[in-house]
Amino acid sequence: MEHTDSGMSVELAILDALKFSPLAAADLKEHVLKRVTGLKDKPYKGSLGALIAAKRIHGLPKVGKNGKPTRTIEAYGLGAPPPSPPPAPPPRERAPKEILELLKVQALSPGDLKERLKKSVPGLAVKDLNAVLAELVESKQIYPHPKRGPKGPTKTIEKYGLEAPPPPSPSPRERAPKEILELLKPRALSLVDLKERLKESIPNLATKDLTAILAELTKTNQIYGRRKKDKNGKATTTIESYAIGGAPVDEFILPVLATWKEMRREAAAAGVRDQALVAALLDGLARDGVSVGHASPPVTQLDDSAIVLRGVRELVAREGHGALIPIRKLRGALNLPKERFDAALLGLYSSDTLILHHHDYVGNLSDAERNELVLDRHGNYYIGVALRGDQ
Amino acid sequence: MSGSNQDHALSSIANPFLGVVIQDVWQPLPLDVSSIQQNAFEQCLKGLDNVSAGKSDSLLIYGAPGAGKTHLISRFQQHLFATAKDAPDQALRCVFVAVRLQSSPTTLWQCVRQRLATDLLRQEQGISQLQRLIAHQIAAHVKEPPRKWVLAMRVLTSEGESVTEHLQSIAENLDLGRDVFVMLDHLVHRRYIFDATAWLKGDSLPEHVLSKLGVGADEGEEREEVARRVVTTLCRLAGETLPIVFCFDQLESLQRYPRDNDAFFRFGRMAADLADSDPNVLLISCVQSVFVDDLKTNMREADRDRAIRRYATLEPLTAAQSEELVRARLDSVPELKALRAKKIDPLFPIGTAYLNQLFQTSTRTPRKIIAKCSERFEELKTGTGIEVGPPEAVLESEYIERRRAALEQPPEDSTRTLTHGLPIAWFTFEKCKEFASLAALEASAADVVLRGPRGDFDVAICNERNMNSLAARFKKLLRGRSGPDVAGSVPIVLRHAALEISSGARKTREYLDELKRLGCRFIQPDAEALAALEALRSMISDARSGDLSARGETLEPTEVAHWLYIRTTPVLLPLLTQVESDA
Repeated sequence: MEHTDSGMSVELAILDALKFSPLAAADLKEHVLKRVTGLKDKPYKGSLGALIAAKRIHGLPKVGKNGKPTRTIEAYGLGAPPPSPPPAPPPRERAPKEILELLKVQALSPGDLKERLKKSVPGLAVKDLNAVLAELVESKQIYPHPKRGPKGPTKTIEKYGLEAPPPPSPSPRERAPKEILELLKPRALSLVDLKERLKESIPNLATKDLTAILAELTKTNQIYGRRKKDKNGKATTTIESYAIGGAPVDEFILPVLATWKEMRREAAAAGVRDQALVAALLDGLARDGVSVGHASPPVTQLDDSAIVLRGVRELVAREGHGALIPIRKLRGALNLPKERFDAALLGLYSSDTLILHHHDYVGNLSDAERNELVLDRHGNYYIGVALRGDQ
Repeated sequence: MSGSNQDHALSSIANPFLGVVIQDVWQPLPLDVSSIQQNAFEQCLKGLDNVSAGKSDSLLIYGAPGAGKTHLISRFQQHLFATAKDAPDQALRCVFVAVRLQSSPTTLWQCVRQRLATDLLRQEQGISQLQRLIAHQIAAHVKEPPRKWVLAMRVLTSEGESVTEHLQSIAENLDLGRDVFVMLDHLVHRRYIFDATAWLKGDSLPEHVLSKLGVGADEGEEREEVARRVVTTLCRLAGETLPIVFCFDQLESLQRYPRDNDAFFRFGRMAADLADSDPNVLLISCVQSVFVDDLKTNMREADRDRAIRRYATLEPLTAAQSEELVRARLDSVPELKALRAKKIDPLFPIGTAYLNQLFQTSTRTPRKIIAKCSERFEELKTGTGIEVGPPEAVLESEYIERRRAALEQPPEDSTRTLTHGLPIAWFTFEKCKEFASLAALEASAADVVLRGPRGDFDVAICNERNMNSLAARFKKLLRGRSGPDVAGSVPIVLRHAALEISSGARKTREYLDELKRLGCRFIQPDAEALAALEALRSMISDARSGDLSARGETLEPTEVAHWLYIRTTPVLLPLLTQVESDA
């Protein structure tokens, strides 16, 4: 390369301008033009080219929109050009880290996430983004938050976040059974009343869902639909009211017991003893396919009722007419298993054969003391038994 | 509650179910359905027939809280009144004495004495029950119709004709004793009625009053024993034409703490003595079912045979009875009755279905059915449900009312407050878990035995107005100290702060100084502390008897006690601490 004096002074001016820091191309040219008066563009470019070739300065190319260096030199610096940086990993590889960084700040909708990634990971193909998101979800590094519809979560993803979405609040269909049981706890309700009250707590419950839930609760004996009776006392298909618990056996057996009481009185007047009457009844039931065989255990509740009633009468006879027999004492005298004893006693109370006296405050009793009492399905504890005054 | 339940037609109609607990047997019954507890009622009538025929009788009525024990007694009393024209004197079938046993078991006889005297002096058709008893006795003595002598009694005055001679013969026949005879003579002839009544009740009277009445001075005799003697003496006035009926309500209130079995033992002794006093005396005792076993177990067998000859159970309502009860209440309000006439449902507005459901699930007592129907009515009326505060609000209102009433009582009445209330408060404030057997008191001149950190100690309640009586009481306490057990605890003497010891009562002061010298502490609780104690005592007693309720639900005695503990601590704790210190 041939160097002239003026060429030398231009090169020196360039090196001097860059001695402290790189300069933008325009700034460098302005700086040199001030030092070398009358300098034309061509010799200036020639000097720049000579210095670059001698590796005394280097040009810094402008980065294009795609992140790649363009042919335009943006600035110049002293010395040989710096070694070129290692090639950037492909967008597919950069994307996971970038996604996690973005979601660290806040959960983002798929649209927002895509928009932001366009800037930080340019060139990320849509299919790559979807694959990366799927991998991150799979490895539970991020969580999709599904959009909620009126019937609960949908398939559409509302946003992605680093935290799992809160558990979805149950749908009206899911909430309804518990709510129905709560509403029926204090008292039975007609279907209209029940619907009215449910409307307040679960406004969106569909009628067909309610029907299905009531059927399910009834089937599983959690609630009982009392049927309306016609003029003759026969049950119709209309449900009059719903109540908590299964169907009360008493309701069906009460008329039977009333008839039994009447017949028993007549039988006694005719000289038929209880034992014979009960035996005949058991035979009749057995013929009807009800396994209450009198020859072998298990002993039926009917037998238990007779045993309990006899026990009460014996103790009352000992204590005096009208006396209260503590259930603890009766239980001790009869030695029946607790469940059978309790069921028999409650059955006799339901049929009005004898009366039970309740205890209003059992809170102070120990578990053992409470266990000696009889508890009905409405939570009432009974402490004593007596015969009705006319018995 | 859904607003859709509101029935605007009911908005101006009074709730017919308000007011569920009958507190007093003399209180007119707002409504009575005669089919309810018919059997127990007939047992009461049978009892009266028995004693009218000179055949001793006693009846134990038991039932659940809210089953209607007090209501039944009230019905019995009002039935006797309504059918009085069938009585031998065409005015009264029996002398009726109602005793709510809110008393210490140690002062049971004094409680009965006070109640008996009060009821004997209740006026009926111009003469008291006591005058009527005496008229019947004279009639039997001279073999004339009772009515003639009842009419004669109506015109007797202190200046006119006299029946003293007849009365004297009766006193001799019945062994009434001089003091009782003198007092009956005053009361029959309407002399010194106020003071003679006070004597009959067992009040402490000044010396000059006793002198005026013509009876002996109080010499510090055991008050409970004196009360026993007066009561059993007065019972001898009962006759076939005019028996005496004692109705003891709230037996469980005698207990100083849960499972205080001494209380039932004492009641058994007292009831047996009463039953023995005269065959024309009927005893009717009411207790909650839950206490029946304890009551029977803790009485002496011999006492039980006399105090409980028969039983009557208060039965849970039948479906028909509960319907009748609700219907009667609904029809008691004329506007509602008119409105109901247009409705198909016989139980409008409560509803047959609602009642059926209630009947199936509740414990079927009248109180519960009425309370639930009250809530239902209010709900239908306002659409918002009944405005009933929490149990605490009920307790606060009860407490304020009872404290106010106690502040109006004369200071002497605090004797019962202290003898009954002090052990209850002691237990409520967890000063001890149980008390010594009452047998320990038999030999003591004290009224109450409390248990402190160093063992049991005696408390004497000395509210005597009469300085001689007070001196005699102090002397008796001193004698107790000079006995063989002088090493025992020194009694603590309690006297209402408003009851002064007069400056002229020299002997009284001397004895008190001597007691103090021996280490006795003299404590004078003020009216505020005693009013709080009275409220606590009566509320816990009512709670034990199942007579404190909110919305038809009986309030648990332990909850009531806990509430009272917190409420009364600022006023009562200083008194209890003072009693406890150095004890």
